[in-house]
Amino acid sequence: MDTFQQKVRTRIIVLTVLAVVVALIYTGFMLYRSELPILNSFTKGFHQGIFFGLELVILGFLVQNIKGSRSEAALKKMHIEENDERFSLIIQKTASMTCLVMFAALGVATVIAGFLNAAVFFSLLGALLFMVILFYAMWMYFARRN
Amino acid sequence: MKTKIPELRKQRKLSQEELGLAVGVTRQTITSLEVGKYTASLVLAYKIARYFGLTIEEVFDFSELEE
Repeated sequence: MDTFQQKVRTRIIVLTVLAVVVALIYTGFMLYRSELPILNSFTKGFHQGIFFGLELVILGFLVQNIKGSRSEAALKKMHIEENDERFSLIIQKTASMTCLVMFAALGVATVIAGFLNAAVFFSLLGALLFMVILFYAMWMYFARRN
Repeated sequence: MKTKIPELRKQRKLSQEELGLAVGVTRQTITSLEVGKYTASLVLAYKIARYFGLTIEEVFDFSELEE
């Protein structure tokens, strides 16, 4: 449990630094907005949403870890929730099924885009190739580890 | 897979939450084990059996595998 406590402390530090860095990047963008290309309102809103969303997720994890580190019982509960074997299995199955569906959807979308628009076709093809390379890289990594 | 976890838990007046805490899994995992939706790993099966002072075969029913 001491190792996990140390892990949670490190996580709190990393998350705090990350929250500050994300806030600083956003503030930097706001300060130098006039020097950036003029964007439409939807793109601006999307960028703001990404930053605020990321900040909220980081803060959420931060609060969760701070709560967990307050007492021995909370720490143990957090450790169990994170290392529960059934939860890990659910995550693994969800990730592999999502990956499979994404491969199929991207493949179909790439074929359809080939008949409609060259830019979209090459973007989707790039995404599909990236996913295939990443998949095999991960496969080789985990095959060597296990 | 069938298990004797519900009976053993009731004999010792343990809740699913308490058993989960003792063996390092969530209450939901104990529920899934009890209803046979989830098969425990070797490590978890060993922890549960050791917690009740029994062998793995005394807690988990492997007859389905032998058939």
